[in-house]
Parts: sequence; structure tokens; C-alpha cells
Amino acid sequence: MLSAKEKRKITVALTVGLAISFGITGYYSMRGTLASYAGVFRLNDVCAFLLAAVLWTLVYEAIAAFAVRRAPAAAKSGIRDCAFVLPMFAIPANVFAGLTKLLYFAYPFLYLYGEMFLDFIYMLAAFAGFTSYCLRRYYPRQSYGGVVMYFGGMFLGASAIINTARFVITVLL
Amino acid sequence: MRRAAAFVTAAFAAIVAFAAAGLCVRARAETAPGAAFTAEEMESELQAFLGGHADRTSFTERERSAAEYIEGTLRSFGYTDDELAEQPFEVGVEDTEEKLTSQNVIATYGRGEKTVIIGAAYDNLYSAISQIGIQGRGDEGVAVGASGTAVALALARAFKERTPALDFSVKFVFFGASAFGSTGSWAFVGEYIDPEEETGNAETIDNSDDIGKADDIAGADSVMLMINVTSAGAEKVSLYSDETETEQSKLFIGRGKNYDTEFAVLTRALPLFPTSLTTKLNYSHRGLIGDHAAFFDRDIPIVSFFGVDLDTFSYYSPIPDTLHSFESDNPDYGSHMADLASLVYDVITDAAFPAAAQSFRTRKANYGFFIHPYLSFGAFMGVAALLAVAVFLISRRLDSACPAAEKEQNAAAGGMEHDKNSDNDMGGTGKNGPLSPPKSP
Repeated sequence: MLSAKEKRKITVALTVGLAISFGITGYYSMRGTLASYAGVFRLNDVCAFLLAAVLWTLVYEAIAAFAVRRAPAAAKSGIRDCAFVLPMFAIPANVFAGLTKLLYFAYPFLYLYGEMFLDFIYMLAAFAGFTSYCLRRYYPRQSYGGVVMYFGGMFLGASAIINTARFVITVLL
Repeated sequence: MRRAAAFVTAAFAAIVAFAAAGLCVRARAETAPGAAFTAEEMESELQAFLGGHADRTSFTERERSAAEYIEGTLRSFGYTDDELAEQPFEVGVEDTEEKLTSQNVIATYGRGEKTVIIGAAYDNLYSAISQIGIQGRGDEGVAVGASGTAVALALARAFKERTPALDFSVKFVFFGASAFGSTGSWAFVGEYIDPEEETGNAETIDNSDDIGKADDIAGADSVMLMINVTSAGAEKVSLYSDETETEQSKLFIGRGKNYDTEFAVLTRALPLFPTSLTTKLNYSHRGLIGDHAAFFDRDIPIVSFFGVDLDTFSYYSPIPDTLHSFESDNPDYGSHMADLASLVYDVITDAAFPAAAQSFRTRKANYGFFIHPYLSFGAFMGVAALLAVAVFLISRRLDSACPAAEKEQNAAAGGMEHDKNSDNDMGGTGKNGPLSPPKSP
């Protein structure tokens, strides 16, 4: 059994890993944003990685905290444990998305669809695995429907909000 | 598991290889160059231009003075009133009635239904433009601006002196107010090429009283190629023509192998700005900053030469752009400028150029599908909506698979068996072991 101290250590390690993975997947987009401010940022590539890591980790933590707090009765019992293991699925999804984004360096015009879909597709696969894992491990069978509905709704809702915000900022504004 | 790992590794290796292959540009050596521009000629052209025009701030009398110098120089090459034109244009100052005025200087060599445009910007932001809140940089705009102007002037002279027989015209356009959002080029495209379309923030002015008006261009389709000399003088000159490899870039890079100066496609690893400079792309990068963007926007084939280190320019920090810095950074700038002028002259005057120019439009990668923000956003929302329906249906199915009686029974029993599983089991003491797949329900 994990002690509270051990669990905290693992949480910190996972959060650091998650931040690095967000740095990998968000780096390309962020370096363009920073380059728009010529002369403001030194070591642009390093700043881009760090800013992407911090920014997206904060967004992730905010969504995760919201999801834990707002969980319905069907999902409430195992929600904290689910939040604990979610980074284990999100980290590889981010790393794979970041690696796929290497294509931008050769074909920059893929950027638009890539930013819209790559993170979403990899995270969707990770989330499917995560949901399946959590159902079997933390929830009774009669809760499956409600948990799937809640997890799926949270994921799709968060993705839709993030992509809508991105669309508004980069296209409409 | 090993198979899956091998598959994933192979997939990403393929992506990296695909990306690397896309970065490589095929090029082949062409015939030897015929025209020769000398380093001394280029250096004296640049020095003469900069002599009294270090300050050519957009929309000012100093810019006007530089335009007059260019016009006088073109006259001295033998361009007549019929071949010269000045295109004045103005920009309104926000929230006021005030207008800022600038001008393009245009020289035309030869006649023909088709046209090649050679462009360069001649202004800079040496001083402040108080009306629009722009701070002066104190830079002379040598690497970006004056060096390109000197090359374009040398080319204008070469065409007039050597009088190559061409069945198309060559227009030399010296853009004003380029440092302010490439205003001059948008005004030129708006008046000379595509009067029906919007011209950015510039309004053209009737110039019937000015020095003349070179014949208009018969639409965007009649422009075979727009060559923009953004900057020159460096030993490596980058070339931007599109987001993918183009026939014109292959042509120029193939020919460029005959020169000491290195000509290469502009790296695609430049950071993408989340702002759009043309209607053709919903992002932009350093390769799109320049007077060629207005032509690119109208689907005119372009080639823009960047003779500065773009991997650091306008990215980590702005570099100083004075004559002193230019000379110290590029000790052989004269010969590199001469190489660039020779390359442009040789390609355009080649008898095979008109035929090659046809392929600039026909053999062009069409990536239009990938650059529609509304389409991509709509596609995403469509996929998200479908997935939402799928989640709903799966949820209903899972609910119906667990009969109400069982639910009540589990509820009565507390359904707490699963609650015994927690992440505390991850230490290996739980019944399922560390992260091991649990039993199916």
C-alpha cells in the first residue's frame, strides 16, 4: 500500500512528466507566438518549451480539478484515483502528438489541421484507455454508463472549448 | 506488446523520415551563367544610394527624396518618360482626417503581353513616424532594403545597356512604405494588377500629373513571375516561393549552383506567427514578410530572396542594420550582390524562360484544403459531435447491460467492492497488483 508521502512523490513526478510532455506537444505553436514578439524573448525555443509546459499544465490541472469537484454520484467514488492515474495516459499521448508535429517542420501548412486534430486524436485514444482502465478498477458495473457519460462529456467538452478558443483567437480576432 | 512497440517506433521513424525528406530540396546544375555583374559595380551602387539617403523613413520627405534619386538614376540609365512611372498612394491615420503619402517608382523594360516584375523596397524606419506612433529604429535598412534596391537598380541598368530581346516586359518596381506593412506593394497590386480587389490599407492617388504612367498589366495571369529582392549581400541567400517546393525555386536554385553565393530554399523550420499576412494562409512566417506577399495573395508566382540569416533575424532579437554592421557581417557583399543580380538576369533572359514560366502555375502543389480555418474547425466540431453521440449510445448500452435489479442489489450491498481498489494498490499490495489489468466485470 502506498503511503500518503509516497503517493505525493508519485503525483509530483507525474506532474513534472506531464509538464514536459505538454512542453513537447505545445512547443511548435508557442515558438511562433513568441517569435511574434521579436526582441522580447531571448532563447526563444527554450522559452517556448517552458511556457507551453507551464501553460498547458495549468490548463490541465484546472480542468482536472473541475472534473473532480463536479463529478456526479455515479463517478464520485473513484474520481480522485482516476485523476491520479490520468497523467500516465496523457503523457504518452502528448509525446506522440509532439513527435507527429515534427511534420510541421517540413510541411508547415499542416499546422492548422494538426493543431486542431493531433492532440485531440492522441488524447482521445489515451482517454479511451484511461476510461476503460478506471471502469474496471475503480467503479462497480452499475456505474459504467454514468462514468462513461461523465468522462466522455468532460473530454469532449474540454476539447471543444480549447479548440473554439484557439479558433476565435487565431482566426476571428 | 513488443509488436505494438515496434509498430509505434516504425511509425514515428517514418514520420521523421518523411519530414526530413520534405526538407531536402532537389536541385540540378544548369548551364553556365552568361551575365556578369561586378562586385565594384554593386558596391558603388549601394554606396551611392546610401550616400544621401540613410534616413528614408516611410511617408516622409526623406523617403520622397530617395524616390527621386531612384527615378533620376533610372533616367540616367536611359529610361524615358514613357518607361517611367511614379505611383503615389496614401494611408489614412486612424481617428483623424490626416493622410500619409508615399510612392512607388516603376520602370518598364520592353513590351509584351506578359510581364516579369522585379521588386525591391527602398524605404526604412530610421526616424519615428509620430502620426502613427512608430518609433524610429535608427537603422539604415541596408541588409533589408538598400541592398535589394541596389541589386534592382543594377538589373535595371543591365537590361537597358544590354537590351536583351524578350517577348515580355520587365517591370522594376521600387516599393515605398514597405517597412509599414508592405503598403507600397499592396497599392501596386491594387492599381496595376487587380483593381477590383481590395488593396490593404493603401489608397491610390490619381497620378495623371506625375512623371508618366507605365502601361498597366493585363491582370494577374499576365504576370509570369514576381522576383522580390528583399535583401542581398550575404554569402547564403535564402529563397522563398511557396509553402511547398515550386518550379521557380528549382529553376533558381539549380542555376544558383553556378555561383559562389549559396542559394537555398528558405528553411521551413521558421516559427509560424499566429497572424495572417495574406488571404492564402491563416498563419505567417518571416518568409512571407515582404513586398512579394501582395503578389502571392493574388496567386502570382513569386520568388523572394533573403540575403540575411533568417534563423535569427526577427526571432531571438532584432539585429542592427546599418552600413557598418552590414559591411562587417558581409565583407564580400559586393560579389554576393553581383551573384544575385547575375542569377536573376541569366534566368530571365534565358530563351527557355517563357516556357519554364508556364509551369510555375501549372505544376504547383495544391494545399488549399489544409489552410481553411473554417473547414478545419467545422470538421473538428463535426467529429466531436459524432463522438458525443457515440459516448451517449455507449453509456446507454452499458446502463441497459446492467439490469435495474442488479443495480439495486449492488446498491444495497454498498457496491463497495470496487472502492477497495484504489491507487494505494499500485504499490503492489492490492489484489490486482501494480497497474495490472483487473478482472473483467
